[in-house]
Amino acid sequence: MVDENLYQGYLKALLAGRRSECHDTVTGLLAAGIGVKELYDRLFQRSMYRVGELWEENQITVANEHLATSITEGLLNLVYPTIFASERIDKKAVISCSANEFHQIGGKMVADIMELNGWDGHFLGANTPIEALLEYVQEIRPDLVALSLSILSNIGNLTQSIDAIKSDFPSLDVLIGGQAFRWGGADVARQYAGVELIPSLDELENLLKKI
Amino acid sequence: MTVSSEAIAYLQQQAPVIFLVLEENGVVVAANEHTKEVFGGSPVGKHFKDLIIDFRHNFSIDKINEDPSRETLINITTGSGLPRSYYFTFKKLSGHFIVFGRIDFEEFEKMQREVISLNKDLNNLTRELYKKNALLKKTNDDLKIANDKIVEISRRDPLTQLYNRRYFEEKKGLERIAGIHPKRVRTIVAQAREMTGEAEKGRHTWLEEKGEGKGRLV
Repeated sequence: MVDENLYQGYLKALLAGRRSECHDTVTGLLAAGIGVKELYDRLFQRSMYRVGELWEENQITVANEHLATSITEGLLNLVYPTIFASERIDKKAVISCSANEFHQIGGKMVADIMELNGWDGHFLGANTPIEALLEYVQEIRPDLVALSLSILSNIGNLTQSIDAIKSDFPSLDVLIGGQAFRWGGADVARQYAGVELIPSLDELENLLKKI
Repeated sequence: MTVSSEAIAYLQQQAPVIFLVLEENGVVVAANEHTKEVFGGSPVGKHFKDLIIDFRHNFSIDKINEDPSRETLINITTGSGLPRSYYFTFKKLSGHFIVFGRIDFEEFEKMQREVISLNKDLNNLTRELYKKNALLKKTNDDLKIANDKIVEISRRDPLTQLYNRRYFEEKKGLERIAGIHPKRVRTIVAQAREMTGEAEKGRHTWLEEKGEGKGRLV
């Protein structure tokens, strides 16, 4: 449903900050019956990864990147009526970005895919301090925690969060993922028992179906 | 180190700041390229106070702070029509005012971060709202199913599971209403309204008599 032409047109509008054009593309796809995961995977994730790359290559400004992120986050709202209407399965997850990680859209998409699969996805947002994360986990008692990382240089903060979780809740499973892992850091998951790197939304969904 | 006048002229022209030279009376006599871009044309020949936003007419060329280490916040109208805030310094040299205006990019970035953060919070709250609404809808649906079940139970005999007297009375009542001529229904409704009105009126009068309805319409 998201062909190359549509994607390129959407990306162009996103980079130019043409919010209403992006909105029309997404509402058109939803009206045509696109699946949430396909929309997230083929349009939102692909375009935002490209925006990240362009920023890393100094081809766009920080302001461009923020505008694209803001537009995409606003478009996620269009999908919520579908996501939250799905049948609940009495499973809970806490999804968070590590401390100093200000890019929350990836984590939010993970939380949404969990909701779509019947999980109660508690999304804590960007730059969550470790103490706040631990307090929330203590309160909610989730079945798993998912941590999102967008900038590889923040990996130290991620490992600190994992250390803290594993220290307080040794048996709690932790999923890690995000754009940062396209450039490295995969060995982090191998350092811990009960920590798994999830490289894509497809793999996340496969895993959720097994739990 | 000696810097050529050519280099100074290059700096003046290319620096991404507002650079103006004013006559003592405040009229602009020179401006760099960036200034022309900001104002959407050359400000030469205009008075400085006509370039700035000064609703209360506080600006006076005689009251200019000439200390170049002290900045004055002044809002201007750009060529696009949008206002923008600049920090200006003034220095009097050889009978002219040398004026620099800069944007505080750190302040700008701080504000941008705040706006982004607020936008994120707003989006997260929207997400929560959708989630809570979905939960509310589900609770309402469950409640309706439970209510229907209660109504159904109340209409049946618990032992035989056959419809009870209440069910048949309700059914009979509904059938009677269905059989009444619409004109007759309107008369009944009008009579009921009249009776309710009388009752309300009576209540108000009674309250007034008891001294509880002071100031109320009787």
